[in-house]
Amino acid sequence: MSRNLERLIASEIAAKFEIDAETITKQTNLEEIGVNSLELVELVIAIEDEYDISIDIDTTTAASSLKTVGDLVALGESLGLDKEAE
Amino acid sequence: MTDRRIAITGLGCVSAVGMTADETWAGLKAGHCGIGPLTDRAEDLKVTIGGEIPGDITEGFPPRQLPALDPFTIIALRAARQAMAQAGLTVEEDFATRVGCIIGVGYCGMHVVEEGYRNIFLHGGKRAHLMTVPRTMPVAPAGQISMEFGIKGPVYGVTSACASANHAIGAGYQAIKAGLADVVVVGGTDSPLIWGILKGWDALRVLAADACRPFSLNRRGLALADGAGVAVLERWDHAKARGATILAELAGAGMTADAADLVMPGIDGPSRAIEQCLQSGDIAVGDVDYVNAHGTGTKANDSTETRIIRKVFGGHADDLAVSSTKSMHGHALGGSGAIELVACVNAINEGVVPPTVNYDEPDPDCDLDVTPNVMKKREIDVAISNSFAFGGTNAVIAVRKA
Repeated sequence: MSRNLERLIASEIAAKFEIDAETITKQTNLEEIGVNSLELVELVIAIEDEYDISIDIDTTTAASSLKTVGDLVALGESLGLDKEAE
Repeated sequence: MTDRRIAITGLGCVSAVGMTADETWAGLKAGHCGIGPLTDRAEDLKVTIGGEIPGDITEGFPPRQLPALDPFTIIALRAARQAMAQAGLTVEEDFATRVGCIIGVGYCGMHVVEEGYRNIFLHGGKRAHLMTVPRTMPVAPAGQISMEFGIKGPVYGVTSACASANHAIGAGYQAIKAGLADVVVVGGTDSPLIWGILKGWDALRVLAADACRPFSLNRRGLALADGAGVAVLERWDHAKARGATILAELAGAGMTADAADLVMPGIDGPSRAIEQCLQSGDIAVGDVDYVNAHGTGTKANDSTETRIIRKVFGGHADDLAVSSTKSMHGHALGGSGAIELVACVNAINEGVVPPTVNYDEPDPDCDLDVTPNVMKKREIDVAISNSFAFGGTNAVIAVRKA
């Protein structure tokens, strides 16, 4: 079900940055498409809202560990979102 | 030898009277009052009027940029764009550290705070807006302007309630005089037309019911407004060397405090601020032609300001042209002094004293020539602009014909 999480992130990015969602994959580099530190946290908040969970991150260092869409997906998976979604 | 006179090379403004400095000046000159009925969320308020911006302030901003900007920053950015365009100034990388930005704010970014309160307290929302902190902070306008234009010298916000813009303008003046920068983008901004803030002003009982009528016997208080103004200040020979058009000289700045009553204006503090301003610019009292008054329209301010002007200018007070442009653009708190700078520079360049509108009847306690209702042609060499704030903080600036 991580495909769903990936598409959720893709659609959030697509809406905010006016990018075609179909072009966004796990390999998409967030900095390269212009996501700044606070916008990265907005993506995390979108995941929180969608799954009604709380994700503990540090805004000032988030960008150093969350570099790609895949990193965000992995973060969600580490919190058990796969299982919950299934 | 370096000529450290301060040139004003660009002006920008967003006010209740107009979306640009040119529109605002055209309106002020014509006596156009931008204060009207509040259109947004006016329930359970005693105050019914204010100076709303007459256009869409977000126009032209990419949707992606807007979540990070509270309205007081948006209007400051708009004013800064106008001022930088008029100055014809691009901040090149090798010059960026010689450019500063100092913007005054009386409040801060309160819209996102109010929305957060409503969302959490009324609607059970779980969290505040992610951008609450960076949107709220009083330095947000200066910081955002620095980021947009690549300004890397002294960048900060200043705050002194209703005198904030004049303090910021004065700080820019001092920064150039002290050799800290060659160019400083200065100004002020505020966006207080929000329910929570208006409720606070309701409680304070200083707001006008139907109109703001500075110096008029039947005046009943001030009218709050949204508004921002920005000016590009530049070391004189720097402006000359790059062939910039010098709009006027920022000739002096004075700053004092009353250290007395919280809201009642004193005589001593403001008088010293005017005197210090004149001294800093080597200006004799007889050189001053126009006083853009603080002129809020409260009973206490306008009669006290009359006494202050009489104390400082003596017999010359009766030769002065005085007006309160707040009667038209309203009191934009931290933005007011910067909007009034736009009025002063244009007044000098066009030889026009903008009027005090809504003036009904003379008050013997305000017996100066306050330019009632209609503008007046007059040669102006030096204009001063007064700002006397709650908290007893005073800042006065002087502008001289280039």
